[in-house]
Amino acid sequence: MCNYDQLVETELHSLVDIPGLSSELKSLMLACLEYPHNSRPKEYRWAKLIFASCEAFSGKPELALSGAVAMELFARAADILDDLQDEDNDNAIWRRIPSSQATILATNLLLLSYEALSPVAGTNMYPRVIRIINRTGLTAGDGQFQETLYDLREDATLDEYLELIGKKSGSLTAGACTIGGIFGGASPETASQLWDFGVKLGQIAQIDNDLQDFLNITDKSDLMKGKKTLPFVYLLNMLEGEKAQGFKKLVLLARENKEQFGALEKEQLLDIMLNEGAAHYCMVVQEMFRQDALNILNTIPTSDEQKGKLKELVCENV
Amino acid sequence: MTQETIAKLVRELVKNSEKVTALSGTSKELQAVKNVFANFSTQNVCLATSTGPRANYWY
Repeated sequence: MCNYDQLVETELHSLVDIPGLSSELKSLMLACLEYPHNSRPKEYRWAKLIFASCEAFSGKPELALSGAVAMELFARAADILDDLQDEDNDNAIWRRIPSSQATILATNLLLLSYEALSPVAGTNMYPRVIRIINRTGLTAGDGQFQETLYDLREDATLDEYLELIGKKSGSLTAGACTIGGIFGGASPETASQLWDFGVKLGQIAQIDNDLQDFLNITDKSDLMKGKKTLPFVYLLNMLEGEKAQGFKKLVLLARENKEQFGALEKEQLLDIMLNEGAAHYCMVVQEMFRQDALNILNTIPTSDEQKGKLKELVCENV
Repeated sequence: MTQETIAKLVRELVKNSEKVTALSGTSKELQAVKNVFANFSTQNVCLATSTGPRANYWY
Protein backbone atom coordinates (compact mmCIF):
# COMPACT_ATOMS: atom_id res chain seq x y z
CA MET A 1 0.00 0.00 0.00
CA CYS A 2 1.48 3.37 -0.95
CA ASN A 3 1.57 6.27 1.47
CA TYR A 4 -1.45 7.97 -0.07
CA ASP A 5 -3.57 4.84 0.24
CA GLN A 6 -2.54 4.61 3.89
CA LEU A 7 -3.53 8.23 4.45
CA VAL A 8 -6.93 7.57 2.88
CA GLU A 9 -7.47 4.43 4.94
CA THR A 10 -6.57 6.16 8.19
CA GLU A 11 -8.89 9.05 7.37
CA LEU A 12 -11.76 6.70 6.47
CA HIS A 13 -11.41 4.83 9.77
CA SER A 14 -11.35 8.08 11.68
CA LEU A 15 -14.45 9.40 9.89
CA VAL A 16 -16.49 6.25 10.47
CA ASP A 17 -15.70 6.34 14.17
CA ILE A 18 -18.58 8.72 14.92
CA PRO A 19 -19.59 8.92 18.59
CA GLY A 20 -23.02 7.42 19.18
CA LEU A 21 -23.05 5.27 16.03
CA SER A 22 -23.62 1.57 16.71
CA SER A 23 -20.64 -0.75 16.46
CA GLU A 24 -22.59 -2.97 14.00
CA LEU A 25 -23.09 -0.12 11.55
CA LYS A 26 -19.50 1.10 11.95
CA SER A 27 -18.15 -2.39 11.21
CA LEU A 28 -20.39 -2.75 8.20
CA MET A 29 -19.36 0.64 6.83
CA LEU A 30 -15.67 -0.21 7.21
CA ALA A 31 -16.14 -3.64 5.64
CA CYS A 32 -17.87 -1.98 2.67
CA LEU A 33 -15.08 0.52 2.26
CA GLU A 34 -12.46 -2.22 2.37
CA TYR A 35 -14.23 -4.39 -0.22
CA PRO A 36 -12.90 -6.27 -2.16
CA HIS A 37 -10.99 -7.80 0.74
CA ASN A 38 -8.81 -9.95 -1.48
CA SER A 39 -7.22 -6.97 -3.21
CA ARG A 40 -4.12 -6.50 -1.11
CA PRO A 41 -2.45 -4.13 -1.01
CA LYS A 42 -5.60 -2.06 -0.91
CA GLU A 43 -5.70 0.57 -3.64
CA TYR A 44 -8.12 3.47 -3.45
CA ARG A 45 -8.70 4.12 -7.13
CA TRP A 46 -10.99 7.12 -6.88
CA ALA A 47 -8.59 8.75 -4.47
CA LYS A 48 -5.76 8.01 -6.88
CA LEU A 49 -7.58 9.92 -9.62
CA ILE A 50 -8.19 12.89 -7.33
CA PHE A 51 -4.56 12.95 -6.19
CA ALA A 52 -3.34 12.78 -9.82
CA SER A 53 -5.57 15.68 -10.80
CA CYS A 54 -4.54 17.76 -7.78
CA GLU A 55 -0.88 17.06 -8.53
CA ALA A 56 -1.35 18.35 -12.07
CA PHE A 57 -1.92 21.86 -10.66
CA SER A 58 -0.19 22.05 -7.32
CA GLY A 59 2.49 19.40 -7.55
CA LYS A 60 1.25 18.36 -4.09
CA PRO A 61 -1.32 15.55 -4.21
CA GLU A 62 -1.73 15.46 -0.43
CA LEU A 63 -3.60 18.80 -0.56
CA ALA A 64 -6.60 16.86 -1.89
CA LEU A 65 -6.81 14.31 0.94
CA SER A 66 -10.27 15.33 2.16
CA GLY A 67 -11.57 15.42 -1.44
CA ALA A 68 -10.08 11.98 -2.09
CA VAL A 69 -11.73 10.52 1.00
CA ALA A 70 -15.05 12.17 0.12
CA MET A 71 -14.91 10.66 -3.38
CA GLU A 72 -14.13 7.16 -2.08
CA LEU A 73 -17.19 7.36 0.20
CA PHE A 74 -19.39 8.84 -2.52
CA ALA A 75 -18.35 6.26 -5.12
CA ARG A 76 -18.89 3.37 -2.71
CA ALA A 77 -22.40 4.64 -1.92
CA ALA A 78 -23.03 4.78 -5.68
CA ASP A 79 -21.65 1.21 -6.10
CA ILE A 80 -24.10 -0.08 -3.50
CA LEU A 81 -27.10 1.66 -5.03
CA ASP A 82 -26.07 0.47 -8.50
CA ASP A 83 -25.74 -3.14 -7.35
CA LEU A 84 -29.10 -3.00 -5.59
CA GLN A 85 -30.72 -1.68 -8.77
CA ASP A 86 -29.02 -4.22 -11.03
CA GLU A 87 -29.08 -7.13 -8.54
CA ASP A 88 -25.43 -7.46 -9.38
CA ASN A 89 -22.14 -8.31 -7.65
CA ASP A 90 -23.59 -11.03 -5.39
CA ASN A 91 -20.35 -11.52 -3.47
CA ALA A 92 -20.16 -7.95 -2.24
CA ILE A 93 -20.89 -7.50 1.43
CA TRP A 94 -23.79 -5.13 0.72
CA ARG A 95 -25.45 -7.80 -1.42
CA ARG A 96 -25.24 -10.37 1.37
CA ILE A 97 -27.30 -8.28 3.78
CA PRO A 98 -30.99 -7.36 3.44
CA SER A 99 -31.50 -4.61 0.85
CA SER A 100 -33.13 -2.44 3.52
CA GLN A 101 -29.83 -2.46 5.45
CA ALA A 102 -27.81 -1.90 2.27
CA THR A 103 -29.90 1.18 1.49
CA ILE A 104 -29.20 2.62 4.94
CA LEU A 105 -25.54 1.83 4.47
CA ALA A 106 -25.39 3.65 1.14
CA THR A 107 -27.20 6.66 2.58
CA ASN A 108 -24.80 6.85 5.53
CA LEU A 109 -21.74 6.60 3.30
CA LEU A 110 -23.17 9.36 1.13
CA LEU A 111 -23.68 11.61 4.16
CA LEU A 112 -20.21 10.79 5.39
CA SER A 113 -18.75 11.88 2.03
CA TYR A 114 -20.00 15.41 2.78
CA GLU A 115 -18.65 15.16 6.33
CA ALA A 116 -15.25 14.25 4.88
CA LEU A 117 -15.07 17.73 3.36
CA SER A 118 -15.47 19.52 6.70
CA PRO A 119 -11.72 20.34 6.95
CA VAL A 120 -12.14 22.71 3.97
CA ALA A 121 -15.53 24.16 4.98
CA GLY A 122 -15.28 27.93 4.98
CA THR A 123 -12.64 28.04 2.23
CA ASN A 124 -13.32 29.39 -1.27
CA MET A 125 -13.03 25.93 -2.77
CA TYR A 126 -15.72 24.39 -0.55
CA PRO A 127 -18.84 25.57 -2.45
CA ARG A 128 -17.17 24.65 -5.76
CA VAL A 129 -16.42 21.12 -4.54
CA ILE A 130 -19.92 20.65 -3.14
CA ARG A 131 -21.40 21.79 -6.46
CA ILE A 132 -19.27 19.24 -8.34
CA ILE A 133 -20.21 16.41 -5.96
CA ASN A 134 -23.87 17.24 -6.44
CA ARG A 135 -23.46 17.50 -10.22
CA THR A 136 -21.69 14.14 -10.24
CA GLY A 137 -24.47 12.42 -8.31
CA LEU A 138 -27.29 14.03 -10.26
CA THR A 139 -25.70 13.23 -13.63
CA ALA A 140 -24.87 9.64 -12.66
CA GLY A 141 -28.41 9.20 -11.33
CA ASP A 142 -29.84 10.49 -14.59
CA GLY A 143 -27.60 8.05 -16.47
CA GLN A 144 -28.85 5.16 -14.32
CA PHE A 145 -32.43 6.27 -14.89
CA GLN A 146 -31.96 6.65 -18.65
CA GLU A 147 -30.41 3.18 -18.73
CA THR A 148 -33.58 1.62 -17.37
CA LEU A 149 -35.48 3.17 -20.29
CA TYR A 150 -32.75 2.44 -22.85
CA ASP A 151 -32.50 -1.26 -22.02
CA LEU A 152 -36.14 -1.72 -23.00
CA ARG A 153 -35.73 -0.19 -26.44
CA GLU A 154 -35.12 -2.16 -29.65
CA ASP A 155 -34.05 0.91 -31.64
CA ALA A 156 -31.19 2.01 -29.39
CA THR A 157 -28.47 3.83 -31.34
CA LEU A 158 -24.71 3.84 -30.78
CA ASP A 159 -24.65 7.63 -30.27
CA GLU A 160 -27.31 7.33 -27.58
CA TYR A 161 -25.41 4.57 -25.83
CA LEU A 162 -22.18 6.57 -25.74
CA GLU A 163 -24.05 9.58 -24.36
CA LEU A 164 -25.62 7.32 -21.74
CA ILE A 165 -22.29 5.96 -20.50
CA GLY A 166 -20.95 9.51 -20.50
CA LYS A 167 -23.55 10.24 -17.84
CA LYS A 168 -23.63 6.95 -15.97
CA SER A 169 -19.90 6.23 -15.82
CA GLY A 170 -18.24 9.38 -17.11
CA SER A 171 -19.75 11.62 -14.45
CA LEU A 172 -17.94 9.85 -11.60
CA THR A 173 -14.50 10.09 -13.18
CA ALA A 174 -15.37 13.64 -14.28
CA GLY A 175 -16.28 14.55 -10.70
CA ALA A 176 -13.06 13.04 -9.35
CA CYS A 177 -10.85 14.83 -11.89
CA THR A 178 -12.61 18.16 -11.28
CA ILE A 179 -12.50 17.93 -7.49
CA GLY A 180 -8.80 17.05 -7.59
CA GLY A 181 -8.17 20.04 -9.84
CA ILE A 182 -10.08 22.41 -7.56
CA PHE A 183 -8.06 21.26 -4.57
CA GLY A 184 -4.92 21.86 -6.63
CA GLY A 185 -5.99 25.41 -7.47
CA ALA A 186 -7.50 25.00 -10.95
CA SER A 187 -9.54 27.96 -12.23
CA PRO A 188 -13.27 27.48 -12.98
CA GLU A 189 -12.46 27.34 -16.73
CA THR A 190 -9.84 24.66 -16.22
CA ALA A 191 -12.15 22.76 -13.87
CA SER A 192 -14.65 22.64 -16.72
CA GLN A 193 -11.98 21.13 -19.00
CA LEU A 194 -11.18 18.59 -16.29
CA TRP A 195 -14.82 17.56 -16.22
CA ASP A 196 -14.77 16.92 -19.99
CA PHE A 197 -11.49 15.03 -19.65
CA GLY A 198 -12.93 12.87 -16.85
CA VAL A 199 -16.02 12.00 -18.89
CA LYS A 200 -13.79 10.57 -21.63
CA LEU A 201 -11.78 8.61 -19.06
CA GLY A 202 -14.96 7.08 -17.63
CA GLN A 203 -16.30 6.19 -21.07
CA ILE A 204 -13.03 4.43 -21.94
CA ALA A 205 -13.17 2.40 -18.71
CA GLN A 206 -16.86 1.54 -19.22
CA ILE A 207 -16.18 0.22 -22.73
CA ASP A 208 -13.45 -2.00 -21.25
CA ASN A 209 -16.05 -3.27 -18.83
CA ASP A 210 -18.53 -3.85 -21.70
CA LEU A 211 -15.98 -5.83 -23.71
CA GLN A 212 -15.11 -7.91 -20.66
CA ASP A 213 -18.79 -8.67 -20.10
CA PHE A 214 -19.24 -9.89 -23.67
CA LEU A 215 -16.03 -11.90 -23.81
CA ASN A 216 -16.58 -13.69 -20.50
CA ILE A 217 -20.24 -14.59 -20.48
CA THR A 218 -21.54 -15.85 -17.15
CA ASP A 219 -24.98 -16.02 -15.55
CA LYS A 220 -24.35 -12.55 -14.15
CA SER A 221 -23.30 -10.95 -17.42
CA ASP A 222 -25.17 -7.87 -18.59
CA LEU A 223 -25.93 -9.81 -21.76
CA MET A 224 -27.77 -12.49 -19.77
CA LYS A 225 -29.65 -9.90 -17.74
CA GLY A 226 -30.99 -7.98 -20.74
CA LYS A 227 -28.75 -4.97 -20.24
CA LYS A 228 -27.20 -3.30 -23.22
CA THR A 229 -23.45 -2.92 -23.72
CA LEU A 230 -21.51 -1.33 -26.60
CA PRO A 231 -20.72 -4.58 -28.50
CA PHE A 232 -24.33 -5.65 -28.11
CA VAL A 233 -25.72 -2.34 -29.44
CA TYR A 234 -23.19 -2.47 -32.29
CA LEU A 235 -24.38 -5.94 -33.33
CA LEU A 236 -28.05 -4.95 -33.02
CA ASN A 237 -27.40 -2.03 -35.37
CA MET A 238 -25.03 -3.68 -37.84
CA LEU A 239 -26.29 -7.22 -38.41
CA GLU A 240 -28.96 -7.83 -41.03
CA GLY A 241 -31.06 -10.73 -42.31
CA GLU A 242 -30.16 -14.23 -41.16
CA LYS A 243 -27.15 -13.06 -39.16
CA ALA A 244 -29.30 -10.65 -37.18
CA GLN A 245 -31.88 -13.36 -36.58
CA GLY A 246 -29.22 -15.85 -35.49
CA PHE A 247 -27.74 -13.31 -33.07
CA LYS A 248 -31.11 -12.39 -31.56
CA LYS A 249 -31.98 -16.08 -31.19
CA LEU A 250 -28.77 -16.75 -29.27
CA VAL A 251 -29.34 -13.76 -27.00
CA LEU A 252 -32.92 -14.81 -26.35
CA LEU A 253 -31.74 -18.31 -25.47
CA ALA A 254 -29.15 -16.86 -23.07
CA ARG A 255 -31.76 -14.78 -21.32
CA GLU A 256 -34.74 -17.10 -21.24
CA ASN A 257 -33.36 -20.65 -21.38
CA LYS A 258 -30.11 -20.44 -19.46
CA GLU A 259 -29.82 -24.23 -19.09
CA GLN A 260 -29.73 -24.62 -22.88
CA PHE A 261 -27.16 -21.86 -23.31
CA GLY A 262 -23.92 -23.82 -23.00
CA ALA A 263 -20.30 -23.66 -24.10
CA LEU A 264 -21.18 -24.09 -27.79
CA GLU A 265 -23.60 -21.15 -27.75
CA LYS A 266 -21.10 -18.98 -25.89
CA GLU A 267 -18.53 -19.83 -28.53
CA GLN A 268 -21.00 -18.89 -31.29
CA LEU A 269 -21.63 -15.50 -29.66
CA LEU A 270 -17.91 -14.89 -29.30
CA ASP A 271 -17.39 -15.74 -32.98
CA ILE A 272 -20.08 -13.27 -33.99
CA MET A 273 -18.52 -10.60 -31.85
CA LEU A 274 -15.03 -11.07 -33.25
CA ASN A 275 -15.93 -11.78 -36.88
CA GLU A 276 -18.52 -9.03 -37.26
CA GLY A 277 -16.27 -6.29 -35.88
CA ALA A 278 -17.84 -5.62 -32.47
CA ALA A 279 -14.50 -5.83 -30.64
CA HIS A 280 -12.77 -3.73 -33.33
CA TYR A 281 -15.48 -1.08 -33.10
CA CYS A 282 -15.28 -0.88 -29.29
CA MET A 283 -11.53 -0.39 -29.51
CA VAL A 284 -11.90 2.26 -32.21
CA VAL A 285 -14.27 4.22 -29.97
CA GLN A 286 -11.86 3.86 -27.05
CA GLU A 287 -9.04 5.10 -29.27
CA MET A 288 -11.09 8.13 -30.32
CA PHE A 289 -11.91 8.95 -26.71
CA ARG A 290 -8.28 8.49 -25.77
CA GLN A 291 -7.31 11.04 -28.43
CA ASP A 292 -10.03 13.42 -27.17
CA ALA A 293 -8.82 13.04 -23.58
CA LEU A 294 -5.19 13.68 -24.53
CA ASN A 295 -6.19 16.71 -26.62
CA ILE A 296 -8.08 18.17 -23.65
CA LEU A 297 -5.13 17.46 -21.39
CA ASN A 298 -2.78 19.23 -23.82
CA THR A 299 -4.82 22.44 -23.57
CA ILE A 300 -4.83 22.44 -19.76
CA PRO A 301 -2.44 25.13 -18.58
CA THR A 302 0.05 23.26 -16.43
CA SER A 303 3.37 21.54 -17.02
CA ASP A 304 3.68 18.22 -18.87
CA GLU A 305 5.53 16.77 -15.92
CA GLN A 306 2.70 17.60 -13.51
CA LYS A 307 0.08 16.20 -15.91
CA GLY A 308 2.07 12.98 -16.23
CA LYS A 309 -0.09 10.84 -13.95
CA LEU A 310 -3.32 11.87 -15.66
CA LYS A 311 -1.76 11.02 -19.01
CA GLU A 312 -0.70 7.63 -17.67
CA LEU A 313 -4.28 6.92 -16.59
CA VAL A 314 -5.55 7.62 -20.12
CA CYS A 315 -3.01 5.29 -21.64
CA GLU A 316 -3.54 2.56 -19.01
CA ASN A 317 -7.19 2.44 -19.96
CA VAL A 318 -6.79 1.76 -23.67
CA MET B 1 -18.66 11.15 -38.91
CA THR B 2 -21.55 9.57 -36.97
CA GLN B 3 -21.06 6.49 -34.87
CA GLU B 4 -23.17 4.55 -37.34
CA THR B 5 -20.85 5.54 -40.19
CA ILE B 6 -17.79 4.54 -38.15
CA ALA B 7 -19.41 1.23 -37.23
CA LYS B 8 -20.24 0.47 -40.87
CA LEU B 9 -16.69 1.29 -41.91
CA VAL B 10 -15.26 -0.95 -39.18
CA ARG B 11 -17.47 -3.85 -40.24
CA GLU B 12 -16.52 -3.41 -43.87
CA LEU B 13 -12.83 -3.46 -42.94
CA VAL B 14 -13.22 -6.56 -40.78
CA LYS B 15 -14.75 -8.33 -43.77
CA ASN B 16 -12.14 -7.03 -46.18
CA SER B 17 -8.94 -6.20 -44.36
CA GLU B 18 -7.02 -5.22 -47.54
CA LYS B 19 -9.08 -2.05 -47.62
CA VAL B 20 -7.38 -0.78 -44.46
CA THR B 21 -4.21 0.15 -46.34
CA ALA B 22 -6.26 2.13 -48.86
CA LEU B 23 -7.85 4.33 -46.17
CA SER B 24 -7.04 7.96 -46.82
CA GLY B 25 -7.73 10.98 -44.67
CA THR B 26 -6.45 12.38 -41.42
CA SER B 27 -9.62 12.76 -39.38
CA LYS B 28 -9.65 11.64 -35.77
CA GLU B 29 -12.00 8.80 -36.63
CA LEU B 30 -9.86 7.46 -39.47
CA GLN B 31 -6.72 7.70 -37.38
CA ALA B 32 -8.41 5.68 -34.64
CA VAL B 33 -9.55 3.05 -37.16
CA LYS B 34 -6.06 2.76 -38.64
CA ASN B 35 -4.42 2.47 -35.20
CA VAL B 36 -6.79 -0.24 -34.03
CA PHE B 37 -6.54 -2.32 -37.21
CA ALA B 38 -2.76 -2.01 -37.21
CA ASN B 39 -2.49 -3.45 -33.70
CA PHE B 40 -5.53 -5.71 -33.41
CA SER B 41 -5.19 -9.29 -32.28
CA THR B 42 -8.00 -11.43 -30.95
CA GLN B 43 -5.75 -12.91 -28.32
CA ASN B 44 -4.79 -9.47 -27.07
CA VAL B 45 -8.41 -8.36 -26.84
CA CYS B 46 -9.32 -11.38 -24.75
CA LEU B 47 -6.30 -10.99 -22.51
CA ALA B 48 -6.57 -7.25 -22.11
CA THR B 49 -10.21 -7.32 -21.13
CA SER B 50 -10.12 -10.31 -18.82
CA THR B 51 -6.95 -9.88 -16.82
CA GLY B 52 -4.54 -7.27 -15.70
CA PRO B 53 -4.79 -4.11 -13.67
CA ARG B 54 -6.40 -1.98 -16.37
CA ALA B 55 -9.46 -4.18 -16.84
CA ASN B 56 -12.53 -2.66 -15.27
CA TYR B 57 -10.44 -0.02 -13.55
CA TRP B 58 -13.24 1.99 -11.98
CA TYR B 59 -16.35 0.10 -13.09
